[in-house]
Amino acid sequence: MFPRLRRKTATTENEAPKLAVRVDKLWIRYGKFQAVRGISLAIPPGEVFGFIGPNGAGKSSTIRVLATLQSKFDGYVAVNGLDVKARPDLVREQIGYVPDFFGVYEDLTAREYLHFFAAAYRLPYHKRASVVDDVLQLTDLTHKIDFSVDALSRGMKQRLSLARVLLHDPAVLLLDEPASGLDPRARIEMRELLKALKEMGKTIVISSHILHELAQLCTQIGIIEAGQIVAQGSVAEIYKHLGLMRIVHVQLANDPPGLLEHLQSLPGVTHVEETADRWSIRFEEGELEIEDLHAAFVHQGGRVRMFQPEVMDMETAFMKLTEGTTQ
Amino acid sequence: MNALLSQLSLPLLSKELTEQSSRGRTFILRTVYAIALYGVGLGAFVNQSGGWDNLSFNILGTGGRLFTAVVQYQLAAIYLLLPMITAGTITSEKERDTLGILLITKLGPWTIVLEKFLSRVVPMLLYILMSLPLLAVAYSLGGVENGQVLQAGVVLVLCVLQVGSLAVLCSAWFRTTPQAVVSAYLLIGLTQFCGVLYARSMTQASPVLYTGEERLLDQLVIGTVSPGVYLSLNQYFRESNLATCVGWAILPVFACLFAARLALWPRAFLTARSWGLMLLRALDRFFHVINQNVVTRGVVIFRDHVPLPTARPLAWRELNKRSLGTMRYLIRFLLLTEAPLIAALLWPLATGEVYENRRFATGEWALQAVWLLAVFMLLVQSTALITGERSRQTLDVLLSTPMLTRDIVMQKMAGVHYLIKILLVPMGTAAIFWLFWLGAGQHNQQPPLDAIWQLVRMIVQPLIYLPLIAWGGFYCGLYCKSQTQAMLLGVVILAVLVGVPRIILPMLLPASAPYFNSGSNMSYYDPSYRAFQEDIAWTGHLIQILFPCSNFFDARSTPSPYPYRGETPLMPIAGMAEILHWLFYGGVVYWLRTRAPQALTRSTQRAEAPIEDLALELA
Repeated sequence: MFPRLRRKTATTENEAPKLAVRVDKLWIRYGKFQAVRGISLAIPPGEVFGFIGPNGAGKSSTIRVLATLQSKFDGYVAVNGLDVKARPDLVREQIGYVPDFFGVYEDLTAREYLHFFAAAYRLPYHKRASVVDDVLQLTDLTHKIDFSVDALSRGMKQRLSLARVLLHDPAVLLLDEPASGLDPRARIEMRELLKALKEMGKTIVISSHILHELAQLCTQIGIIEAGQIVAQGSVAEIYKHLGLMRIVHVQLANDPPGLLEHLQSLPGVTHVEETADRWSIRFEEGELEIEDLHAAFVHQGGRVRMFQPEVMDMETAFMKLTEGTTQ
Repeated sequence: MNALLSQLSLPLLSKELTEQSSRGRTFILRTVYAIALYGVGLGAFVNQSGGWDNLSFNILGTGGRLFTAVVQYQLAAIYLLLPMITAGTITSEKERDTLGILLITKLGPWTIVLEKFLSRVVPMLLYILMSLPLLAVAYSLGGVENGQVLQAGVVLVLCVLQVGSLAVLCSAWFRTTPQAVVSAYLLIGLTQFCGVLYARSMTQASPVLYTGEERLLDQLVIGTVSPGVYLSLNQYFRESNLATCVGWAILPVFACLFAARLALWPRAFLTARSWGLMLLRALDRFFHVINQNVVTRGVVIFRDHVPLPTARPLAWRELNKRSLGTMRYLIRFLLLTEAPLIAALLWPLATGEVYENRRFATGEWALQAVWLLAVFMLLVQSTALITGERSRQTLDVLLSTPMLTRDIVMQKMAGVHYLIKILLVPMGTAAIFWLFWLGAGQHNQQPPLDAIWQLVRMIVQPLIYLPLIAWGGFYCGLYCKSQTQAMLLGVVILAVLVGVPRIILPMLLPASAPYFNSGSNMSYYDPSYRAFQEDIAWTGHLIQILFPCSNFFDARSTPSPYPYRGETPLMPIAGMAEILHWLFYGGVVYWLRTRAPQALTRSTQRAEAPIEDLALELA
């Protein structure tokens, strides 16, 4: 009936097939205010992309474009090769969107809530019960299936929210501040769940303020400020680019003489702090490998009880890259 | 001194007034209010002078009608607008979680309640001051006594204080703004109804003039319950005891404010609950108790079973999980509305009412009450469709699913369409009784054609107006942030659509004025009514077609195109005008329905595939 359109659609779908998310020169304006100013992203399938930035930097606006909830923008945005502007209906089949708040239908139980969205995602009726069971099992909510959604804790609600977006098995998950407002246990559970999803091969775009967790989880980081990307790449690349220090905590069973002086003389080591139960060595990773540092301890006769490299200091990276300006 | 000044700085009041003045809708409301007020004034002025061409010295001494029109308009505005404006004053703080912050400041509960009260009362008093030039014109025309002006002014202020304090109490008591608004209207409606009932019993018992002393108790009761009714009964009080009445009427204001102050702390951190659901659960308990008797022994006829959603999830939720979704609740709602309605309609027969026109009036009152109920319920339901999703923060999640926008709209409206079907039952009951009383009153004077015509009108009007209100409410919800704003917008639009033609028509067609002023209770043989029919012509019909004025809440306003026996057909054109009116509004409903998906897309910024792609998908 519409052969021209069929061809056009096919062309659109064939564009950039290797990227799960592609954003080219994205501009978002609200009247005269420019929320996003020409950012570009390229996220291959299976990546976990962390979106970091101060409040009002443009993270949520970008995610809303990817979630087809923001039709007015300039630039090219594609999810799994599908142009968001041309085929938002098909893009919606490919994405699972978790906003930065958890809205509830207070009159539904967890089972009804998931069946409601299963119907909204047009899952075949005969498969729904098993799919709902699967996602509940994955999110560890099986025992809450007949509880009112309103009665669940915030952490459970957030897990239920993830269960919702997994119903139609989307390729790309868009998570806007999924851990905000959660207690430490719920945050750890959420992180473990995201790791499981990463292992399942999902592409995840996640924005968060909890930088420490993003560093552990993400394969790529994009730091955005005032609507522009100020740094992008893997965590290690960003550290290297910024010349940031690495910190290793070491506990020794003995106290070899001359060890402190030897450590201080190693290339790249800038500071060694001796506290009551451990040593903290700060060094530039480009000049000294962690393995070499460990070898230096052993070589000097140190009996190593604990050798713990600190997770990359994302807060420092964030503070260094951003000036705290919002638009 | 500085401490005293800081006490008098009224920070909350300043903030509220500044906020209000910076809002665009305040400006719009003021403009609409002023236009309507001066429209009413001009209409009354032209009307009493007998037309634009008759402005002469004859109008001297005829300021009474203008004065009455302006005061009545102000009273109506106070009762209609003020609860809507005021009931959200404290609940909005609760909804934004800012009441707790206010309570831990040095502002005491009294200060908060009073400043909130003043922040709504002061603008309303300014609205009343707007009418001063009109009252001055009325006064200068003559026919208005000094005492009347003073009395009207005092009563208007008293009304503002009473309605405002009651709405503040509702606002302090309830958790959400819609709950507070609905309760405020119900309570105010109840007090006014009591006032009218008392006044009616008083005037029917002794429809002669009494001295003020003899009627002092009546004055006090009516003045306290409803100053507006007190003003309308002025003729019955030869010596008005205004000062005493003011003293009494101010008591409920203090009582309400005191109750609001008491409720402020204990009810500051309530959990939001569905009101409708609570009401239906209470009904459940009530019916359960009734059902446990020797005869029925707890028998259950309809056992509810809510299946899981299949193809239309939103419609499933609207029909199964919302308040009136299940058969059990539906039957209970019908029992709750039908039983009192039928009782009220049969009341004249039970009491042996001999006057047919009073029986007829009962039917008409019932019909109008059911219309009001229907409009109110539809507005509440339809304005909540999108605003409810917004307030629950579920709209984004819903829009990111692959559902088509058209499906979202139509499925969301499923519950409202269901409600319309339910409302047709009490409306049908009231209409049947009304037609019955109408037929009984005519003693076979009317030909069957007229009865058929009235029947057609009874059927067509709800089928057009109810969807019109429902879709109108949907659009209001689409463009407003909260349900309260949406309802306010809906009420204002309805008031304009219903009220404006009633202002315009008398100005254009002075001969028709008595028809409008008498609430259309005129005899067919009345010369002015005949003059209206002959005079109305095309201009009137055009207005009638464009505005749902004559038909709204008013079953009889459009004259029948069929004359009485032996009469010449005067106005077949009136019937044609009404048919055109229906066609026009039917078209409006169709247009609103067709455009709704696009409007939703535009207002939410949801990305939508080009239309040909959708056609491809559907193909």
